[in-house]
Amino acid sequence: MSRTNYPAGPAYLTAGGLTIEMAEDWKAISQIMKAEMKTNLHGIVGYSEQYVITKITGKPVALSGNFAALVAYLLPYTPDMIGQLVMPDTDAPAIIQTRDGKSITYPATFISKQPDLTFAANTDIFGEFELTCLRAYDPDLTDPTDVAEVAASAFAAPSLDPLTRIRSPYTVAWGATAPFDAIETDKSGVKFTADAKLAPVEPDLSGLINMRIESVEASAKFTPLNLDADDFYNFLALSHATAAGVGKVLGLRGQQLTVQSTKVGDPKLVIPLAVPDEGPLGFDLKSRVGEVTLNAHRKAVTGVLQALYTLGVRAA
Amino acid sequence: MAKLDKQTLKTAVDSALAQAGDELNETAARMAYEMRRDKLAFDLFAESRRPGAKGNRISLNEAKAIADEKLKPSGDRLEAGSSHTLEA
Repeated sequence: MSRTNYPAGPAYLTAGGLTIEMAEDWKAISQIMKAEMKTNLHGIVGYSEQYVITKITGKPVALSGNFAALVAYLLPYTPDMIGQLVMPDTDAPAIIQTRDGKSITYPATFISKQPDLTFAANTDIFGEFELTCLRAYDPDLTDPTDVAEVAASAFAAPSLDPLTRIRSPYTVAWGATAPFDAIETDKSGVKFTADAKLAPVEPDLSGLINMRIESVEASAKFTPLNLDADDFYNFLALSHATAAGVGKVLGLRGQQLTVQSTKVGDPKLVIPLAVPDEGPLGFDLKSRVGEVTLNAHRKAVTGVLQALYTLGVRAA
Repeated sequence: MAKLDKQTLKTAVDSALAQAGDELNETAARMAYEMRRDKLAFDLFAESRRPGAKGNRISLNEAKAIADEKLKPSGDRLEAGSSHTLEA
């Protein structure tokens, strides 16, 4: 019996060359993916191993100094990359360093879920991301550290200055016409999602070995407090002579959505062509217009296809 | 206890803000250095684990120590993305 042998406690993550501190408790879940073995008489009588994965999930702490680097690492996928493999030939490891002096190294990782971003005054900007860890490439499975390597490792806290943590109110403009050029949202702000679908590359010989980018879509959601019912229907442009009607390209009723911090150097989101998708009218005490969704569509400027979205910082 | 007049209070707050600004700049500089150091350390760490790499695998703490050595004497001249190789 020991009074002290009860390991637990916080940790930080090193991945993509970044030291990432999490806002809340976080996890690394390891799982053996399995295939069923059935018989007609008895149903499932066993399983065989397909591959082993670990999924690390957490909400990163964003500071003014590391926001751009975090965006580059956590939201790597764009529509221009469709068809590409996400894992390079040289494995990208991830290391968890615990406060109680252990390091846990996963040899081969990729971002499997890009985090949502919330642009709101009193909310952390990054939502939860997911980092998937595969077995190192080792056909003979002779290395015991193929999946994870646990070692003693002295802890040193990474630098953190709470004064630079990103907390800021944001302005929201959809196009340049009032009242949409100055939308005021409720306290939940604007939630931005950039969803990348990845398809597994799974040779029979090695199990899951990589992922291929299948699609990338983006959308923004918010509840506008300063719009009325007539604004709502203007927003949806359901009866616009040019843009509305069966077969009309939805991008015709899109505008640029710009969400930016009131502070220079803090986050800014631009969706060049944000198209209203849906939203409710509410008859309650909260807001006449409920949470609306705008989807990011593509448009070309002088023949050049524009980015689906851009995430940066406010310059001035 | 004597009451502070508004001007004295304003001066005290301005002074505290100026000090906080200096500290913030120092912390920002340290964080920027650590980001470069950690990027280099991560590259060294990953390189040591590459199949066929020369030498033993190194820990992240060892990689950070090597990166510190590489960065500090040169006045932080290493650029992100530079290539690095481990000694055998």
